[in-house]
Amino acid sequence: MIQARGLTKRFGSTLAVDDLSFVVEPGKVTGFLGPNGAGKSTTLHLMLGLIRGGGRTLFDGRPYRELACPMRVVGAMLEARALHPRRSARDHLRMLAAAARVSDRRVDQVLDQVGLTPVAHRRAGGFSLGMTQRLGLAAALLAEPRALLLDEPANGLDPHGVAWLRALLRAQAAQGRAVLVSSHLLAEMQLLADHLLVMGRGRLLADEPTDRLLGRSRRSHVLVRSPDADRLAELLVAEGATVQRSGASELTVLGISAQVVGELAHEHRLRLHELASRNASLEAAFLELVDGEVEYLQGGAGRQ
Amino acid sequence: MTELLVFEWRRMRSLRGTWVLLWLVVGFALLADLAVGLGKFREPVDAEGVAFHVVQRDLIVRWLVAAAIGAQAFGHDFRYGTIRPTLLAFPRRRQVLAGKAVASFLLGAAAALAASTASMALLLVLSTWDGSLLADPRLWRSIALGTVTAGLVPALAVGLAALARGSGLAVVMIVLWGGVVEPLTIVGLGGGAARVLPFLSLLQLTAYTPVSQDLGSPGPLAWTVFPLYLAAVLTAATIALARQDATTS
Repeated sequence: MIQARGLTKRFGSTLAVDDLSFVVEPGKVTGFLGPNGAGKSTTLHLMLGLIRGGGRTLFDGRPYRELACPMRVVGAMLEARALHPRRSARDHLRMLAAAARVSDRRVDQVLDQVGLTPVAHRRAGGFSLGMTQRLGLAAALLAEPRALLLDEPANGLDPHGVAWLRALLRAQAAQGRAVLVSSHLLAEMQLLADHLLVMGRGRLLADEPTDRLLGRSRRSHVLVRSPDADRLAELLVAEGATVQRSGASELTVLGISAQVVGELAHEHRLRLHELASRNASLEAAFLELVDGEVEYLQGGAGRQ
Repeated sequence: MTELLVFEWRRMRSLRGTWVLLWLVVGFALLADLAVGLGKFREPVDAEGVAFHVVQRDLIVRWLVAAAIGAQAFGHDFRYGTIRPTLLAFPRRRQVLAGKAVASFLLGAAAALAASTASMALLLVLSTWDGSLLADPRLWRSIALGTVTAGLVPALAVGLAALARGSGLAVVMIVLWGGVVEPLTIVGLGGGAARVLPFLSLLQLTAYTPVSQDLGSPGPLAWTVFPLYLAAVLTAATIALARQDATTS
């Protein structure tokens, strides 16, 4: 488990991270979202003690710098390009293997796991962004850590690679690891994350399960088709829902769950031909949430 | 510390540049010996001559190359952003500095020892000298000190590179310090000043006889001069590393 408490970072007069507290549970993939400049990368660096700031982060109850063998507890990928360009992929991992106290055989295993075995002896400077990301992932996975912290791991991966990454991270979470992933790929995060942390201008705007965040979006609604639409609409309004007519027998219901609609219809012996929840996309929910919290926006509307 | 030294060794040995620098030390010694040997073929060599050939003559080259190796320990990390993986692997920054200093010391000293050994072997073949010279303790003292000093200089370079957040500036600082500031100080204050100057005090210590370097004899505290400078630089580097964010230069 990862517990962050009161994380704060100031760059001059700019408050980059403002008293951030959250928990990353084991066995779940937690998505870390926010617009550019929201402070996601700064937060990850703070958590790992790479930059100085306020607050503390505990990994299995201990700060990172107090861990006896940190790579066995936390596997981090912060900046995939942080490689010496003239060092081979295998040598890069062998170097880290010494720190992680793992064997060279494990190096070959992770190279195989991320699909880099054919280029293991090539210099990292010649790698594409996608290959570099895979190497960064291999480094994070090397010591089979109990938690993963990944900053934009899908950057540069092709669709096949993104699907592979999704399966990999879900498998890591299923094995009981706490997985924290920052990403700009909202559609991908909707598929991947069990829980979401959303940042805007250094503050935590949301910390809740993905389903709940999507459900409370203004764009989430229940679609109902019923030959008794008029009567049902009256009942739903009486229950506090907002009802819009979208056809002779079709209703769009906001502010009430599909379960409540179904039970209400059953109670009043009204026929239903269709009852479906239509969750907003994560993109829609995200944009609603960070509205006004964007650091850099076209047309000068954001804070510069 | 063992993991850190293995990490540093793998870091250094995985770069071709390290091997080029190491071969430069050995190659320079062998080429110089070859040139001298061919020029003074079959001339007798005494213990002082052997000490000069295998230690003093190449000392500056060895220090410079070793300094470059030491400076790269942090220089590459800051230049390529690998300081972050390094600090993720070893989050205690003082420990990282100590590990890099020790690893650079060992590599610099090993390079100097290899060069001295190769040089002595070549001299045995090319020149006329009696094997009894090897019984001279001053010759071995000179070789041992030449080896140690070639380890101390890269350790200093590690500290300077941590302060400068780059290898180029660290090497330039060593060149200016040892090659310009100290000679000018001697010119201005006389040879006695060598006793308190780090590089010249090292030269005094490694000399077979004090006279051979025209620097006078080392003072009673000569052993402590360079280590004191080294300790000051490493302390400053420790403070700088602790206070700075792990960003690239």
